[in-house]
Amino acid sequence: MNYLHKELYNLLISDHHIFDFIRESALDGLWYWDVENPENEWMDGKFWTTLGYDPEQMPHKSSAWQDIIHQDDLKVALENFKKHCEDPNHPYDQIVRYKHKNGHTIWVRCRGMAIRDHNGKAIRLLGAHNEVSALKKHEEILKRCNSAASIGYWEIDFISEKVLWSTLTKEILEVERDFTPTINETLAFFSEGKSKTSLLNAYQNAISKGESYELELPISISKEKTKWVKIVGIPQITANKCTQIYGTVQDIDLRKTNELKLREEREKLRISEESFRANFEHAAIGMAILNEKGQWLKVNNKLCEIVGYSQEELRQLTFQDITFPADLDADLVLFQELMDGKRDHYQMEKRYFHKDGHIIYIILAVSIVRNNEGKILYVVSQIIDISELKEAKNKIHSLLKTSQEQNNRLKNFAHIVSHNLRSHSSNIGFMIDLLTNENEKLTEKEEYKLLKTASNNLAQTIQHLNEVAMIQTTLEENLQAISLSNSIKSAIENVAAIADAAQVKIINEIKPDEVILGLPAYIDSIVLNLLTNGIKYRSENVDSYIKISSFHSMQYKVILFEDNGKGIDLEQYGSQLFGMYKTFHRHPEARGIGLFITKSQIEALGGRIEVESEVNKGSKFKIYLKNEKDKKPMYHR
Amino acid sequence: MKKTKSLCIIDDDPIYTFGLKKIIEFGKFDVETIFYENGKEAYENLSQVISDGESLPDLILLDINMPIWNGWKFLDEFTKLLSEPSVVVYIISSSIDPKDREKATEYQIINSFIVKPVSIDKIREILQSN
Repeated sequence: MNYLHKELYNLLISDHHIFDFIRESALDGLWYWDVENPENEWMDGKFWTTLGYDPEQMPHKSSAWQDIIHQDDLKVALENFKKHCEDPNHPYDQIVRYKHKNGHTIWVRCRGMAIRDHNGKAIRLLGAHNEVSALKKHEEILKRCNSAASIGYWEIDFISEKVLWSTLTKEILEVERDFTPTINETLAFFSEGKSKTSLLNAYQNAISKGESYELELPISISKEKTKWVKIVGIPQITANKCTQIYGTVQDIDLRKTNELKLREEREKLRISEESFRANFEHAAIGMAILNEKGQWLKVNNKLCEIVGYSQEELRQLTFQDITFPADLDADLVLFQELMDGKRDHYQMEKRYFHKDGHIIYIILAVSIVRNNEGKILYVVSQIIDISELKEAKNKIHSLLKTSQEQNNRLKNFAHIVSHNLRSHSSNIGFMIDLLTNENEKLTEKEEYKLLKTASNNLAQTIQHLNEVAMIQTTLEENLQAISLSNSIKSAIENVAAIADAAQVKIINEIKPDEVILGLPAYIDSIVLNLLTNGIKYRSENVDSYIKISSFHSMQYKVILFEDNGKGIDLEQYGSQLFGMYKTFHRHPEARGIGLFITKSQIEALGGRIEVESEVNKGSKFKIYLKNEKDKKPMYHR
Repeated sequence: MKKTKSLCIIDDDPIYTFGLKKIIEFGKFDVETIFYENGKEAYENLSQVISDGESLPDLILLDINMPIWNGWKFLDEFTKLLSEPSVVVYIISSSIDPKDREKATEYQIINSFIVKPVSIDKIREILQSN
C-alpha cells in the first residue's frame, strides 16, 4: 500500500475534518437512515441547501423530504432498496427528482450502501447525493433538438462490440424501445441493392480510411414498408485504428417523398411541355402565342404558310396589323373581354391580309392562359384557313344564281312555247283546213298533204316542247303515296286496244298492295309511255309480251318492264337513248321524245331509270322510285 | 227553226277572226256576229248594251292572251255587271298551258275550254248545244 494512501486513511479516522472536506467538496448531500426506525434519518446541511432549504429549520426525519421527492422516482428508489437489502450486489443507484423550494426540479443521483448486522440484515442505509440537474438539462435540450429534427443518435463501439441506438433512432427505425441490436443486425435494416452497397462502401471506408460519410437512402422497415433516412457516420480513430463509429440517423421520408413527387411532376410537366411544343410545331392548323398587346410571340410553320410571313417577320407584327380592317373591331371587342376576364376563350370567322396582299378567310379560336394569381401569361390562338371553303361557297352561290336565272329563262321559254309559238302553229293548221273547205280538190295534191303533215308535226313538236319545259324537279314533300298496282291497271286498260291489235300480251305481276312515292300525273305518264314503247317496238316474229314486275333495292322500289321486242343497240345508241329527239327504229310513230320525258319525270320524282337491252332479244327498263316508307318527315327551315 | 243566234267574238288575232268568219260563211250558220279586239273594248261595249237595256249576245267566244285587258280581266269585270249568268262563255285559246285550263274551272260562267285551231264541226257543235 502506498504510504500516502495509508496515511490518508489513518488521518480520516483520527481527524473528522478530512471526512467533512470530502463530503463538502465531492457531494451535494449525505444522509444516514435508520432502517430499524425508519422515521429517523440524519441529513447533512448540503442535502438541504442543494434543495433550497435552511438546514437549521429541517428536522432529522425521513418525513421531511417525502413530500418533495418525485413519487415515481421514490418508487424506483424503494424498489432498488428492497433488492439491495436482499442482495448486496444489486446497486442502490438511481436518479431522482426533488422539487426545489422555489418550485423547479432538482435532479439528483442518489446512491446508497446498506450497513448490515452480523446476520447480514440491513440496519442502516448510508446515502450520497450528487446533483445532475445541469447534465439533465443538456440531455433534455439534446433530446428535444433531436426529436424536433427527427435526428436519432447511434454508435458502434468496436472495442466493447456494442451498438447504441438512441430512443429516437429506435423510433425512426420503428423497433421496440428495449431492442438493442448487434453490429450484424444493424445491417439487416438495409435491403439488398444499390443503397446497401453504397452504405457498406462508406462504412468500410470509414473504418479503413477514417472518412466520414453522409448518405440518403431507403431502408426496409418491414416487408411492405421502406423509409427514406439520412445517415451520418463519423469514425473515431485512435492510434491508427478505428475504435468507434458514431453518427446520426434522420427521418427524411416526407421530404424525400415530396421531392420524388415533385420530380415526377416536373417530368410530367416536361413531357407535356414537349408534346405541346411538338404539337405546336407540327400542327395542321396555324397556332400562335401572343402577349396581351396582340404581338406574336411564337408562331408555328403552318401559320407562316397561311399568312405568307416568316416567323421573324410575324414577330415584328401584331394580329391587328394583318387583320382585314372591317373585321378588326369585332375581334378587338372579344380580345378585350378576354383580357378583362369576362371570358376565357372566343371563336370567330374573320379575314387576314396575306403578305402579298390578297385576303385570307380564317376561323380564329383564342384562349387565355393565366397563372394562379390570375395574371395573364399569354394568349393562345388557333387559326384555320377556310379560304378554299369560302371560294367554293362563293362559287356555289354564283352557280345557284346562274341556275336560277336559267330556270327563269326556261319558264319564259315554256310560256313562249305554250302561248306564242302554239298560237302561230294553230293558225297555220287553221288556214290549211280552211283551204280545203273551199277547194276539196286541193286535198289530193301531194304538196297539200305534205304541208298538212308538216303543220301537224309542228303542232306535236310544240306540244312535246311544252311538256319538257313544264317538268320541274318536285320537292320531296309534294310527293304522294300512290298505289302502283292501280296506276299499272289503268294504263293497261288504256293501251288494251292497241295491244290487242298488235298481239302483244301484257303480263302484270305487280302485287296489289304495292305503293310508291310520286305524282299521279307523272307516274301515269311514265307507265303509259313504257307500255306504248313496248308495243310499238315489238318483234314481228315472236309471241310478243311485256312483263311488269317490281322489287326492292336499297331505299328504292324498282318497277321492271321486260319485253321480247326489237331491243336497242346500247353500244351504239346507249348514250343517246334518253336524249331529246333520238329515234333508233324506223318506226312510223317513233318520235324520240317519249324516253326523254320519261327520264325527266322519273328524275323529277327523285328516281332514276336504267336499261338493259339486246338487239332482237328484248329490253329491260328498270324504274327506281322512292319507297313510300322512306319519305322523310318534313322539317321547318 | 230557232231564232238567229248572236255570237260575240273577243280575240285580237286577225288570222283567227278571218278564219272564223270564213267558217261561219261556209257553214251557212244562222248567226249574228260582233267582234272585239281585246277585253277592254268588249267590256266597254257590252256594259253599254246592258245600261241601254238591250239584249246581250247568246254566246261569247273569248280568247285569253290579248293586249290591254286579257280574257281573265274581261271576265272578272264583266261578271260583276251580271246579276245572273245569262251569257254562255267559251274560252277559245291556243294556250296549252295547264295553268290556263285550271284557271278556267274557277269561272262558273265558262262552259268549256277549246284549244285552237277550231274546226267547222266544233263551231256547229257549240251552236247546236246552245
